[in-house]
Amino acid sequence: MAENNTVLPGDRTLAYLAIAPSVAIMILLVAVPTVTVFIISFQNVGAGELSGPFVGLRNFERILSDPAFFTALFNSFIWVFGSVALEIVFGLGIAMLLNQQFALRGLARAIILTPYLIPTVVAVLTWKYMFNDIVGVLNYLLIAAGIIDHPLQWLNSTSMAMFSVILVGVWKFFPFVVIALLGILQAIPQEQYEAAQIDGASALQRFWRITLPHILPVLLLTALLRTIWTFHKFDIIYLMTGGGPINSTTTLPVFVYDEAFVDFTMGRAAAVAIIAFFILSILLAIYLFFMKRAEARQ
Amino acid sequence: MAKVEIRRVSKSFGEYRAVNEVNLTAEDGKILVLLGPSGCGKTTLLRMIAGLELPTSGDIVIGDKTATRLHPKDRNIAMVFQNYALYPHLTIYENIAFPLRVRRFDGNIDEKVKWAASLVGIENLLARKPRQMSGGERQRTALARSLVRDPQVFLLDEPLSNLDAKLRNSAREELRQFQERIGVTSIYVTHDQVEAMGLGDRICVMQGGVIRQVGTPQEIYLDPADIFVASFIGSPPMNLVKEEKRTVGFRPEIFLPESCFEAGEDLFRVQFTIQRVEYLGGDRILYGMAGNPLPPTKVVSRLPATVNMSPEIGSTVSFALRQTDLRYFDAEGVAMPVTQRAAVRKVANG
Amino acid sequence: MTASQISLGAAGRARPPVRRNMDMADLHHVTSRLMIYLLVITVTCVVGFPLFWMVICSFKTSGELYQFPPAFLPHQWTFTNYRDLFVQTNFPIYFMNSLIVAGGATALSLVIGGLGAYSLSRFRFFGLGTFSLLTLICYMLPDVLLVIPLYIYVVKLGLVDTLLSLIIANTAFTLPLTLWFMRSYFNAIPASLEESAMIDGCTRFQAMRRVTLPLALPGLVSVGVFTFNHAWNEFLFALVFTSSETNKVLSLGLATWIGQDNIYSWGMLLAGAVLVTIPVVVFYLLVQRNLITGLSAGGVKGE
Repeated sequence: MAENNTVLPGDRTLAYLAIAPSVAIMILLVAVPTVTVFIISFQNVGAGELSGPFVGLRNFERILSDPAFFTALFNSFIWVFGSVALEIVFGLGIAMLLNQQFALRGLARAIILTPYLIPTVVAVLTWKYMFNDIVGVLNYLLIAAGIIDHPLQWLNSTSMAMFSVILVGVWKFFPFVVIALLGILQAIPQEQYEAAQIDGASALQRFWRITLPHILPVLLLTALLRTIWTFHKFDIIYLMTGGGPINSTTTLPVFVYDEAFVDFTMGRAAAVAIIAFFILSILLAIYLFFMKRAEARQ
Repeated sequence: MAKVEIRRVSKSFGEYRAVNEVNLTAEDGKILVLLGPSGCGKTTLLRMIAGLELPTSGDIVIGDKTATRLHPKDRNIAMVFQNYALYPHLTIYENIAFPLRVRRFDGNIDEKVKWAASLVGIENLLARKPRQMSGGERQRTALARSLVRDPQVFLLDEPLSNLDAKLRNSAREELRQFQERIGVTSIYVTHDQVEAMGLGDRICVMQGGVIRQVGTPQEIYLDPADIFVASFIGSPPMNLVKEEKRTVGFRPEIFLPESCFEAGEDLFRVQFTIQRVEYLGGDRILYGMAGNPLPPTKVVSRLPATVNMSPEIGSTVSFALRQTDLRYFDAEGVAMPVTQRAAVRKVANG
Repeated sequence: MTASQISLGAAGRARPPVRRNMDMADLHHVTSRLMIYLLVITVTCVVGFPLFWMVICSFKTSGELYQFPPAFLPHQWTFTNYRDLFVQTNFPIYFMNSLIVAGGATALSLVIGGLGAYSLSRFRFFGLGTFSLLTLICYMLPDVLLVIPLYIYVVKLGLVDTLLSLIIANTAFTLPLTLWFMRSYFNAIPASLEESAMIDGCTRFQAMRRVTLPLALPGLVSVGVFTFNHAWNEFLFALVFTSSETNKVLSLGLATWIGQDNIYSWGMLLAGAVLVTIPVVVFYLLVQRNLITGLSAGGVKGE
């Protein structure tokens, strides 16, 4: 029988009283603002103004005829898929490594998980110092190892900047994948591997036939969460490059920020935010579809 | 001490009626057992007596005070939960002292706690935390905690179900002796008929939110009020053979080869085809088909080891039982009164 | 006589052949162990290097910081960078502001979210289930979507450039996490413990305070650390809502310096980065220990 829930006289009042502050905050600071964004996106709100005349779909028309928007859209996709794919690959590999028995495992695990804990501004600061084209240690190490022959312009060239930002993002956020996957890896019954070994399965076959099917639902969920959060991510890009050089790292959140708080065209910023929100909904739907199918196949 | 009266109590969860128009009295100082399969409403009824659930309609009277809407703390009841509900962050001592502390007991708490602990024999374990205790010790702690403040009524919600089978037998015996010593009105919920028969002064059999029968263990066993009670109590349960307008019932242990009875007894004879024999040591269980004069139906016989017979599978043997041991249920499954039964049988024989 | 019989006979007389088999297995075992250690060391070094570099360089003199090729360990360890940070900059103000904002948001989120989660976990009244689903959706909303209207409200309410605006915004953003985390935490604490307490003589509020709250403490500490960390790291709201030097939090303060790396020395920036990281790491160490202490283990049922 399911756990009973006590019902006493006065419980209803207590229940609503206890939840009231949470509901109030969620309505005032999340629900109402979300509606407000939609309203603003149909208004012409200029610099220093907080509302403006209704202009219909004009903001959306302006956005969709602006090449900078499509650059930002393209950059967002590169940023999201580049980051998430690398985070999953490294996260899975390192999770499987940390799942082995070895001395000082706790220490290795702590070091590997630390990037996820440190503040973004700290990560950015450290990497910017390492990326520095004159005194940066990265160029020094790569030249010394013979991988490159002249210093790279990590953040100052349009061709390198996105790669560098993704590198920092992956370094900072892959531990999330490790944490999520370590839990499920440890839950795979050891007998299954032993049985497979007796049946003559190779290490690769054991990975494909036992490990992967076991972790697939969690892997997909992790990828979904990382996709959503990476798509939202503003601070790491803004702090690394500010969207530059020449908009080469401007993703949609950075674009929204620039429209709203640099150009002070709030209406257009709201329109971009809403378009981004819908793109995210599509991504969400696709992921949910694949997750359902993966579950059905099991 | 007080008796508990339940007056036309119903409880609905949305559309679902968990308890339906129940009238019941728990006598002062006695153990009343609420017995039934899971989902029959027995736990809901107990929780309403405790004040953890508000009845949808009806009244609960404890002593001579209407307690229907009283908060649990104001009912002066004690309860032992199925999972014992010991406070994990407190020591055993503090667990037992908890009811005294929250009620601002002004006597000697230490003395009371040690008295309650000694009643159940855990006085050496008072410094421990619940997680360092065995299942039996936790159950005793829960008992001590519920008794430390002399409650009017003692409620027990399947307190033995988390113990292993061996421990359960001895715990049941202890519980019975314990209740006799302190003599507090007790209401005990269980789905285990052995527990119910062994513990209860009276048993209330429930099913589907309604009471099927209330009575002493003997009454319930010998004269089940309906087909449900007949098939729920007893192991194996009563044989039930459906005839045209009624059902005939008889217990497996009184259904024996004709040779076991003395000549001249008023017997009801049945042809019995043996299909399978289960050897249990003290008894043998014979599974087979009843035949003439009953319609072919699967029935069971329980032969004590003292019966000298070697049942052959496939053979048809003449079995019998005393006429007075037959029970009849009408088309609705309700037991027919004894006088009416005799009349029916005579007509049938005639 | 066949070959197998001969070898059988030999094995019967002496043990060595059996042991040689085990040596082979050992060798295989050792190489795979070696591979694992090699991989672990490589991964740990690569992932850990930026952290190592940040700490090491914060102790270098400014001369060594700009030296190329860089030296791995400073020739001369110095605390100058840390001293300068406190003497020459507003770092102490930023630090205090961050403590106020993160502390305030954590306290509010825990009290409001804790109460709400208790209600969501213990009661089944109309609307509560729907609400918990809606909060989950809110958790997925991008902050850049909400910052526009919230900025407008902040301006209208005259809260521009105040720490209060940051406390409120951070509370709103961490509330869904607190609600969901604490709801499942309360769900794991059996309701029968509270019911037992009420039968033992507590009001519902007393039962909550004397039984549920002590048991929920590890959960509150964990979610408190998450909330604190979120507010401590938060950048976008700080960037949009605040501007004056006296109201800057650490993330915004350090970010402003990054943009002006010609004026401020890398040494001070790195020293600042180390100091910003310390509270976060300390808090996580604290949680780790708390998480291990299982919740209501042993209080109910057999194992």
